[in-house]
Amino acid sequence: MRVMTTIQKGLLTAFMVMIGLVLLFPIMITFTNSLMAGQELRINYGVIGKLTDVTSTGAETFINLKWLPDKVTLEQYGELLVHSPYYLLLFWNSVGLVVPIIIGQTVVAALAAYAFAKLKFRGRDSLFLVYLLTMLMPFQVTLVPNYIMADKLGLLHTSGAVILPGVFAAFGVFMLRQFMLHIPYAYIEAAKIDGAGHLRTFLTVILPMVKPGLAALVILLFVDNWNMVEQPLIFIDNPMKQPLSVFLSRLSGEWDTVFAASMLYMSPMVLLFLYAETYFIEGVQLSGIKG
Amino acid sequence: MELSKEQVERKRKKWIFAALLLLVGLLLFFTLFSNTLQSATLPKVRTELAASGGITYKLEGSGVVQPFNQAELPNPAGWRVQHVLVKEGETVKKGQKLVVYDSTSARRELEDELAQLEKLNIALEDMQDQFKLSISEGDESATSEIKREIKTCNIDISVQQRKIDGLRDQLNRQKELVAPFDGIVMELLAIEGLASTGQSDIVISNLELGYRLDIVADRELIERFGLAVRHPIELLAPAEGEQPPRPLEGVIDEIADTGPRSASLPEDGGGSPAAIQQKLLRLLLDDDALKGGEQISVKLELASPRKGWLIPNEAVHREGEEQFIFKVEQLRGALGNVFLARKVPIEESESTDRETMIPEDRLYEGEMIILESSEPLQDGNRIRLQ
Repeated sequence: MRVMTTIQKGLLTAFMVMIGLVLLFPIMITFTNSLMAGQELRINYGVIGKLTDVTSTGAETFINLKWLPDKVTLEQYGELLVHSPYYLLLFWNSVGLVVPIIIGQTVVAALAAYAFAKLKFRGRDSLFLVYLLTMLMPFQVTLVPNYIMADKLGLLHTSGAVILPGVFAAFGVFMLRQFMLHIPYAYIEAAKIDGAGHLRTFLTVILPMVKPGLAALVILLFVDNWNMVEQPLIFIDNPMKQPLSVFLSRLSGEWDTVFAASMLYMSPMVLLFLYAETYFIEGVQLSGIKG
Repeated sequence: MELSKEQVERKRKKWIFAALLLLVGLLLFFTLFSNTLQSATLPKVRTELAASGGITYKLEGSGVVQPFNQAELPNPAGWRVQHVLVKEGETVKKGQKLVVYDSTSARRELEDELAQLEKLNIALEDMQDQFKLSISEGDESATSEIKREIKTCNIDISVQQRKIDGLRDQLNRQKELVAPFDGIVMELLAIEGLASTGQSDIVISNLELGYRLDIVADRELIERFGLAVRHPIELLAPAEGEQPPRPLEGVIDEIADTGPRSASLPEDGGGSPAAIQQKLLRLLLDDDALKGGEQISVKLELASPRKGWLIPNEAVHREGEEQFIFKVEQLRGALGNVFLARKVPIEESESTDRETMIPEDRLYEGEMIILESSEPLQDGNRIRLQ
């Protein structure tokens, strides 16, 4: 490995700090703005409404992104938690959609990945290819078939219509298979010699070894499903049953709560990521998948 | 070194996990209790179920019955009262003696006058004797003089006679007070042993003309009931002892203007109170059992032909020309039911002192009307039911 000069190191650090700042910027500004009062935000960002006004000259169409609140207040949070029961309901709706999907998909994916990675049967690779194809297809392609299927199953306009396709998505299978491929076959053979069946081998040998992979999967699934908008929007027509993500996309202009709502919305994700960060990085590295 | 790094990592995870739990717990808490927390700050309202029906106009009033006509009988001569023969409230016949006066002085005067007459008669006799004497003497000038004197004396006697007649007549008429018509003694001011105070001694009502009752009512109501002169009206006499209240009939004798009264407005009505035109109804009562002084009430009811929702007047708010009420709207909220105050305009309405009728299409069956609120309400405000 070539030894880096101090200048190179410095440059690299500066570059990374810059990238970090760019990535953190939206989160930081959301956080600081969530501590402002609605009135302050309205004065600041009220101009957003004029952006679409074609008669206005360019001058007022620039938004002054305000970093620091004039007065730090938890007004937005109070408004959100006490006066917007709707928000809380939708939060639990989101939880109610995401948790079954994560649990279901993790279970299904782990079992399927084991089969694809460690069992030998005819047509395994071609079956996996078909499986993979569904993953490669964009969500919009399977939308109509999914819709028809949900209708036929009587799941339309219930959370089942979102959960069921989520549970059987191919991504988890693919990711865990990649992960399990790295586990030497010798472990399974050793277990077999010791008299373990497939289930036992899977539960006691394979699962503990793919822990980082599972953690990565959980985080990826959480992010993916916590942020989904189209599926609930299409499959669930009752706004009271839709998740927070759909609601949040409609919040623009409601300055009294919008930043606090965003903060609370992303905090479970951030905390979960921080909690399982090490597993996640390990898992992504090992499976060779980028998040 | 490696171990401590792991420890740090474990500690960090612990903190993050705690934060995660805290977040979830916080959200759970507010999910369960935000409605309760919020409702504690909401304006509290008192409500009532809207009743369906037609408005009933009520003309209510009462008054004291007064004789249609009453006469004040004065002491004719200002003499001392000797006997009072009647009591207050007594029914008397025409010609009945009411008060006897002490006429001693008048009688004495009469006797004096009689004596005076006697004196004149004696003087006359005396002159007649002189006249006879002068004729027999043949003194012509004396005869004619005596003749003139006799004439003068005769005039004096007839004057005296008339005076005595007058006195006698006066004595007969004024020694007692007599009822001029059938009536009831309303007031007795004469006191035995005292001369009159200058006012009347007795106030007597005229039974033949009946009684009257004055009642003040809103002009609008009178017009709505179609009341006019000579229109009969049902009245109610009060209960007397064991007897239940008894209906009477009266006839409107006169409808006169009287001063307006100011309407009572709901507290937040604002503006100056509207003046309500009033009229005086003078009723004529013809009932034998009446004595005057009774409290008689009138209670007329008229059901409006239109049907609608009846709302207490306190629920009606005014804003300039606009009138409206607030009803309770129940929304199935995300976390429990939410009650909202909903403004309902009521342009067309009929109202009485207590109630207002609003058209049927303004409310649904079973909807609650807000009577009063702890804070001023606006359309769509969340409220807390009492």
